[in-house]
Amino acid sequence: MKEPKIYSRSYKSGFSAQIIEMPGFNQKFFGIVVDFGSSDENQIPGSAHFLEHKLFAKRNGDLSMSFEELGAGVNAFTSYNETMFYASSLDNSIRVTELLFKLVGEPYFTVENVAQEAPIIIQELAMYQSEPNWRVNNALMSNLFGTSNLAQDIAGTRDSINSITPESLMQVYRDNYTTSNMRFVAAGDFSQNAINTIFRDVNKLQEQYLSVAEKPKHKSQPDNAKFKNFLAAADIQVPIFGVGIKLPDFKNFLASNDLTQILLEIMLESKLGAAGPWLEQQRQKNILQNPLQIVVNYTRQGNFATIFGTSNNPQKAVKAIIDELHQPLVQKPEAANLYQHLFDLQKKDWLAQSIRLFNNVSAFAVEYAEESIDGENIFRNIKDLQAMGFDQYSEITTEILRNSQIVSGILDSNK
Amino acid sequence: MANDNILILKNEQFTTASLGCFLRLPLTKHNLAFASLLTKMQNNSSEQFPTIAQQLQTLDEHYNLQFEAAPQLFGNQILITYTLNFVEPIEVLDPDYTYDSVFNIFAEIIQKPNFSNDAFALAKRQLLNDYQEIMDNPVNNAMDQFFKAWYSDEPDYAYGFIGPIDDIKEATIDQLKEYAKHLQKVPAEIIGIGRDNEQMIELSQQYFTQVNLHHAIAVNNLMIDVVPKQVIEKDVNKNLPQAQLFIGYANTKQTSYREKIIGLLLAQYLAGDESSVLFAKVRESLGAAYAIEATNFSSNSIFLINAGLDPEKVDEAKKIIQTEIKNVQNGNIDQEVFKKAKKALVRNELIGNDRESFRVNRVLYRELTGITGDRLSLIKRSTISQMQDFARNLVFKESYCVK
Repeated sequence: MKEPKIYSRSYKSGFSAQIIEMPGFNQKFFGIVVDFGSSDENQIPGSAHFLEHKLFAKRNGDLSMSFEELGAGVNAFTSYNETMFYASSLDNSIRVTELLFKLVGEPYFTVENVAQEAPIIIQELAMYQSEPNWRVNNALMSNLFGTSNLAQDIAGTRDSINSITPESLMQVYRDNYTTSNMRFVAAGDFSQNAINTIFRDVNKLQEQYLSVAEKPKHKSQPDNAKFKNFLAAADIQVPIFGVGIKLPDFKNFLASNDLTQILLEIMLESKLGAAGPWLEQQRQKNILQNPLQIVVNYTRQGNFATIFGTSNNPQKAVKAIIDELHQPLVQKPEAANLYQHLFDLQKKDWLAQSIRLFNNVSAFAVEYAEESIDGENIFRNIKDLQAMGFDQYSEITTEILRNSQIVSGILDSNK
Repeated sequence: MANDNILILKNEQFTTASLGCFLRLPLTKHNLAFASLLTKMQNNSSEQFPTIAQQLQTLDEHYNLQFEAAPQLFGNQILITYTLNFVEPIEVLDPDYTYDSVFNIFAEIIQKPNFSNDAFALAKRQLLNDYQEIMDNPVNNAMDQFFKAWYSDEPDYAYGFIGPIDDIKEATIDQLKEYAKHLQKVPAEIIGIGRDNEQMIELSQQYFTQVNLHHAIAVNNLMIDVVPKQVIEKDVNKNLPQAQLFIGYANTKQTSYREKIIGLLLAQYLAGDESSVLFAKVRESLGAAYAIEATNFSSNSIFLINAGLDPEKVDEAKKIIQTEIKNVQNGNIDQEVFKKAKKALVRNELIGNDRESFRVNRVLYRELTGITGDRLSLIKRSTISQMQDFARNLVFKESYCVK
């Protein structure tokens, strides 16, 4: 596997930039990632996401139009601890880069434009809420993370969205949109000359648009989680269930959050996934028919895993999952052989996933930006994973699970 | 390079290769239901890998082979689609991982299904579960109701998802075996992209002995030109947090490739990027929606606009949509938005070409329709008056709203 060439620059202000050379692709990707997202503290819930929407508003109208005039597409997303603004184009690298800095560096919040945005975001929230598993996920997060912003939907709540003002948005913007808290990333088929020009331009633009400040310090706050289980009924044909696991600080186990996340996903997939024997047993008992959706996340406010599925016996499904989670990974010699084999397969799987990344300009650039702002390196982590022995993996994941708390949620059919 | 119905492009860029095996048969509700059942079984297991765990472990063992089997609808035809994306062997240099080992697995799964009673019963239960889950989502449910109403006189075309669930429940294993046997005779094509495309062609010939690669997959006319005789307007109250509105226009006159491209352009003009007219008016000005979509289902003669809306603002949004269609019909077209829509389609086309699946799908479309037109050049040459002409052929036929 040949890693792509990545060029980096760090500027005196604390801002940094990376350009990933991906020869042969038509797409040129430009992004700015901010180390601030929905679950970070000191914001009305939903502010990070509202800011992501509202930064497109400028004195002369919606800045998306200027991108479109250049033939570029522009978008943004907010996650728990990050906000990212990005554009894709075929050419006009310098002008697209300039617009991207203007996008994040020139806030224009008014009473009118904030009031105009609120109903749009409420419809975005309604779109997520229309999906039946939203209720289960929302209940799991509330029961795992209590009163913290991590417990809320990334978009906030209808009330919190309506309570956001130009002043509150500006405060959140000033606190977080600063040179040390942001990074630029570009990916595509750039000549060496183009790479040098983009770096020079980025230097000027970050000086022009961004405030110089130290990285904000994040304080962990008590979340008063109650760890209750959730049960409700809805007008659905097939019941939905979820299991939420509050995980301890990964840094107590490994230096890399990302590698720990990968190990936990491998462990949960081995125990509960379609390649292992457990799911087959649940099929034979008619408890589960389809594979579960398993996700592990780490954030500054806490780490967690969620496991979702559908079943006509949701209580039995939840109980079977929790029982399996409580089983040690290595119980009998034959189980050890099986889990060792599944671990080896998952190593290959992750190696293949990293190879696949090279074929997708946007996915690679987003992944790289998110990882680098967290101080992670996907290639190093994949190499470390390949070198890791089964005993170390088993020990780490068993210990993490032993220090975790589990809740469940069921949305039953009221038919 | 081509040989019979085998066409493998040379991969000079990607770290993975792609392979597709496509079987064409007429769209009927029975064919769709059985295609769903068979492909569900094939996704799970096969004769050589008789449990889900065994099949999955084999795919993982080969560096996460990504196998997928599913029916796809193309107008009045079904394409039973088997795709495999795999890491190019040269990337990992594992002596046990070769094109040959990959082709062997792919062909085994496709050509030798596991017809055990357990596998059959499980696939049925899974499909029932999938169907219920899909229908519990209000967007899918509304779309399903929209198409069922549109094709109420032609039930063979009324199923967008899975097919009639009752046909699946009642299917017997012998019927499914017969269906699979019949598939050996329907026209098939193998399309892919890989570094050693010559070897991939040879391996396709060697391994795919039970699919019919000798009859052309192309069809003269894919179009379904069935449209509702009367205008259908249906509102359903379900007390949802967000209303789902689907508005359908018929256009049975889009027979040329150029017209299909113009339909794509109209969809982009109305609801593509932020500057598109419905995005600006329904979302930004009215604040009624987060997203609005327009799609030209050219093979179904349907131009569809749909959105998730604030239930209080459905009527206003509907009025705006219908007014904007009339505006285009009357030549009242925003030139700046039109130019941006063209640029966006050019961008999407070229960036799409950065993906293997996009390239394979383009070749598949060409093979299926016989259309060899230069898409990019058609987009660049399209004019406002062509878009107006296209819109003039749109006839409002259905509005379905659930809120």
